[in-house]
Amino acid sequence: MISLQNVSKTYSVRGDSSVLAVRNLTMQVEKGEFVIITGRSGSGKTTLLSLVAGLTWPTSGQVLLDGIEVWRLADKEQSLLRNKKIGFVFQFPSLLPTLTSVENVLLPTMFGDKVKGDRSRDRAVMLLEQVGLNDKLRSYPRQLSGGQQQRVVIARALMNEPQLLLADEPTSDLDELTEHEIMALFRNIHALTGVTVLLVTHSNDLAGYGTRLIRMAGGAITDLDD
Amino acid sequence: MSLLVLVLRNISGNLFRSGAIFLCASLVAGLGLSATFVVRGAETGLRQNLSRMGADIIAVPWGTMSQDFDGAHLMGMMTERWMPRAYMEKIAAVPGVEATSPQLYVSTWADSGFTTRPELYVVAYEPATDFVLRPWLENDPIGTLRLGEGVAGAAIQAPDGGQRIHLYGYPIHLLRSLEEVGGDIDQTVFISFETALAILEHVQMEAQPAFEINPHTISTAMVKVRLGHSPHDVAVSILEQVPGVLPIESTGFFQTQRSQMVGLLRTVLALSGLTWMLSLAFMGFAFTLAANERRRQIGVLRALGATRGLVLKTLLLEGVVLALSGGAAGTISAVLSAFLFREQIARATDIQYTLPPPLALLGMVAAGLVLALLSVSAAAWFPASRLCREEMVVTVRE
Repeated sequence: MISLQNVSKTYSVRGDSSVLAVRNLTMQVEKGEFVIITGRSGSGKTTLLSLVAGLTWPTSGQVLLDGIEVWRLADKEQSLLRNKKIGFVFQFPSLLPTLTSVENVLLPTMFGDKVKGDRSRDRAVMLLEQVGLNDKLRSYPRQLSGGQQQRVVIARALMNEPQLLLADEPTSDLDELTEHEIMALFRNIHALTGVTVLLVTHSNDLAGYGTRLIRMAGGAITDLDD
Repeated sequence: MSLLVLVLRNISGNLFRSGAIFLCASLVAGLGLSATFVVRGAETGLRQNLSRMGADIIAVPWGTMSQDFDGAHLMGMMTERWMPRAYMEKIAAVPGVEATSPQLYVSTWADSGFTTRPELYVVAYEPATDFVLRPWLENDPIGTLRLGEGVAGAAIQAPDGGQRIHLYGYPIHLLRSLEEVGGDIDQTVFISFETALAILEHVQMEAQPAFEINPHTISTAMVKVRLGHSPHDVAVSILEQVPGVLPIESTGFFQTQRSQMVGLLRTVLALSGLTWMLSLAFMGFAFTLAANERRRQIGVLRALGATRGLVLKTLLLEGVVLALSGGAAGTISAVLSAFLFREQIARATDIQYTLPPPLALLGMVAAGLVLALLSVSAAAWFPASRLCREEMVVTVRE
């Protein structure tokens, strides 16, 4: 499903200096895998995720998602592809503060035509129930704990029935107990839906939740553990 | 979830910023509309003054200094120079002259007690031939003035709310009060030549007469030019054919008034323009802050599948909603202010300040809203489009 061939990514930083975030990386991810990518801060994990999603383009090499170079698509096609195929869970609080839980979960339906009308609301409610927030449907993000907010984000990521779930440090701001609850949720979702999951974390303790582990350092893969 | 719901939630989610932009839009639209009212009022006033003036040319005795022309457009010249009444016939005989009417500046009376203004002017006119004051009395014509009767400017008040005043001890019954015009005419009493003569005789009986004039002279000949004739050409003909007379075209009388109005209008427009620019800068700043504050949110929307166009549309729609609501508030305030404070504003600015007819008002309100809309859109466009062009990964990660 995902194929990276000799991919490098360099960011320019203030004038002439640049940072090599990903170095000559090659990897494959098959449909239905739950891949955990670990590594220290600055190892290139998030950049790898951004490259897969087409949020940025490679300086060299090729990134394919279902055989398509996403970043080369026109904005409209690129957006539609992301909307239909990819679910995002970000490291930072990414819920819109002015929307309730249900409205936040419904957000991706605004940008595509995959799930519409009453069916979309029913699905949003069902997803929130699935992540254990059936009593927080009308709550605003400020009324939710960090763990609850991430659950809403996960529900939002699943709203359009994506084929790929990209999670960037989804538990970084959470306590240990909540961290494991969220990881268990990812594992359940993966088991239930068969969605391909690419999850980035700096914690080695979470490696066991995935079906495959990739370790990164200095922008390159150091260890592939099946 | 619809785009409008998202936009409305964004607006209500940041009340301070939204309030500031709302206020700016309100200021832009409100001041724009108010400035239009002032300009329109000034134009209307000028046009009405011109139409009510009646005279296209005033002919004054040769040697009258040009600075004396101010205020002469309705009440002749307040001049110490007089000319023989016989000149009227000569002027009337000039080709292109349709009508003439004489006026005689009788005197200036300081501290008369009949007006709050420092001076009261007495001017004689001929009701039978007059075409200058008549338009001001169209709704309430007086016919002819009899001996001892007069017409008062708006600032003349008879004692105890009555209609009788005494000019140099001579009793005058005030038949009518003219509408407020603004200027010297408001503090002028108009009498007939017959009454002027009677006052003069009365004054002459005193040991020290307050003034002396030749009763058979006039100070101004009001001239109306026939349609199709150029007032300038007729003025030149009068200059050539009637020696001792200086003809002045009506535009000349209005120069001071017009330049004052133009000055006022320029000030109003400059202030409105300045406010508009400041509001635009402030709104641009507010939108830039808002856009920066919401970079990550915009990155999230893009990651969830929103196109650049849709994000831009969302940000601009926010501006449009704020512009329309703020603009509506501004225009309503401007209309209400114009309605409630029109008299105070008119007094303060010395120009007519009235609401236009409903259809014109509707057009002006629409223009005010469009102005607010364009201003807010212009202010929102730059930060919004810049943010939409940014690489998504940068927006999301920052």
